[in-house]
Amino acid sequence: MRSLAVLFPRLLRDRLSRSVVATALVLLFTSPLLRAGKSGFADGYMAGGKLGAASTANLVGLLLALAAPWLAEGVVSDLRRNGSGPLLLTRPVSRPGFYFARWLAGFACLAGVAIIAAATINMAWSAGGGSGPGLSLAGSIGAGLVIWIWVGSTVLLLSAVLDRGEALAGTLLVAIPIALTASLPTTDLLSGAGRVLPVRPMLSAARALLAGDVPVHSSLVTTGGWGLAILAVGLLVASRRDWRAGD
Amino acid sequence: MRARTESLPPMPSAGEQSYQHVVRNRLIELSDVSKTYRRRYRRRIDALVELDLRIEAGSTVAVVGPNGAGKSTLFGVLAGLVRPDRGVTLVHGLAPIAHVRSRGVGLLPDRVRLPARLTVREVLARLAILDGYSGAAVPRSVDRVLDLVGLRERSGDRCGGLSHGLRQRVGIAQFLLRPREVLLLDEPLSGLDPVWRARFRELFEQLRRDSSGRTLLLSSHELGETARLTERVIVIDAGRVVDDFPTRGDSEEMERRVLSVLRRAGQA
Repeated sequence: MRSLAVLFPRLLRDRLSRSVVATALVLLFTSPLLRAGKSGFADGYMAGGKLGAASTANLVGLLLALAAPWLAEGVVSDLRRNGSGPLLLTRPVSRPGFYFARWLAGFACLAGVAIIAAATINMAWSAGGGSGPGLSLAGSIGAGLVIWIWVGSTVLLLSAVLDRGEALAGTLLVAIPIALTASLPTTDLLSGAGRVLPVRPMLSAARALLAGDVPVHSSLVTTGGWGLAILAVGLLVASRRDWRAGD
Repeated sequence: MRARTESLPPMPSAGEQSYQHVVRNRLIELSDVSKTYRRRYRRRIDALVELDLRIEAGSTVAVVGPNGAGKSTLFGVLAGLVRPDRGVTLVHGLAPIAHVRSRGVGLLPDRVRLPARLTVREVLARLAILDGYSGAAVPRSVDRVLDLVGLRERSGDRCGGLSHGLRQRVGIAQFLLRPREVLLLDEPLSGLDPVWRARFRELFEQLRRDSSGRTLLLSSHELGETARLTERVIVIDAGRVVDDFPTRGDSEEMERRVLSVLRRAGQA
């Protein structure tokens, strides 16, 4: 356990470049909203800050959910691709613990992206002279965790069974339910799918946390419950999968 | 090419008492172990078939056989990397994964693969951390093994740019970071030039000398070399043990015996 704690900063460093790109993309996609905020919401139009905060939190939550698969990619499959698995896993270290540390590094990076994005957006609004959207910095960590616990765990499970392509699969798992529920009327099939793939509860909890509100209890429980169950299965599958010595 | 002659690190201190106990007992036992790989189109490869094996603690054993005989799978099973479909494997009385978790296993794979974007030093530092080193001991241990394999000047190179032989030397370096009680060397000479083959032999001899109680399993196609380095030969073919005998250091006799056994097995 101690060796994993010593290793953790290096695991964070592995995700650093992706975190920087993800932060830049979140800020890039929220900049039109910021410009609208400065010219529209800031002069008191439609209760300004309140609406701005909700819209920004919606968008930031969605962007984080789409960035998460990319940040979560490779917890297991990277070791298989680059061949370092056998050398690492013959050390006296717990395999589930090792994969969990890699998974946790991804969460720390997503939380970092969320905090930096929220702080930058808040500062940009304040500098524009308007009332800020009030994205919560503490809520950003919570939003990151809510998203990660479901998306990150799903991608970990995919990473344990796929050698590549788990980020794309994870992105589709987030994007398809959003597209379906946005474009189709609610049906039994869709609501059933929503229970299995709780993307909407996850996003609603994330945007509530980002906006500094208390999220609906059931959405947190649904997302967290599914996320933890998937995480446990992912760690179990990853720990039991064979490695050929030459992998 | 610079390589200093330095002493190898001591045995792991953890579990010293129980280690002495284990040394007096049978160390590695495989009973009725089978492993089948399932490939596409329902193709099956029987890598190990009802394998029974006993290897005493402190022995130096060669595992030889043709390509695809099951040598790497056997090493994978002992390193806890491959789960057999059937049978019981015990290393120090523990299942391989539990043994690796508590004591670690030294593994030098036949094809050493490393993360392309990391430097040699960074790869070794990470492995040293997982070996239990921390703080200033990490760079110290890395420098020591880099000197042993003559890679100090290349330590800043990214692994992606290394030749097969250099990767193999990094593999030997990681192996020497903290030598374990069970050491598995799968084709260790593959890709090494003559100078580094000789150097590897020195390191191997040093490992043997310094290691009352370490068990070394070596797989190689070079039978003469194997006879010189080991005291017992296990011949595997098609996942089965087809012969098992002491080497007595006579490489010609050993080579003749192994080839005749494999020819007979091939005809059967």
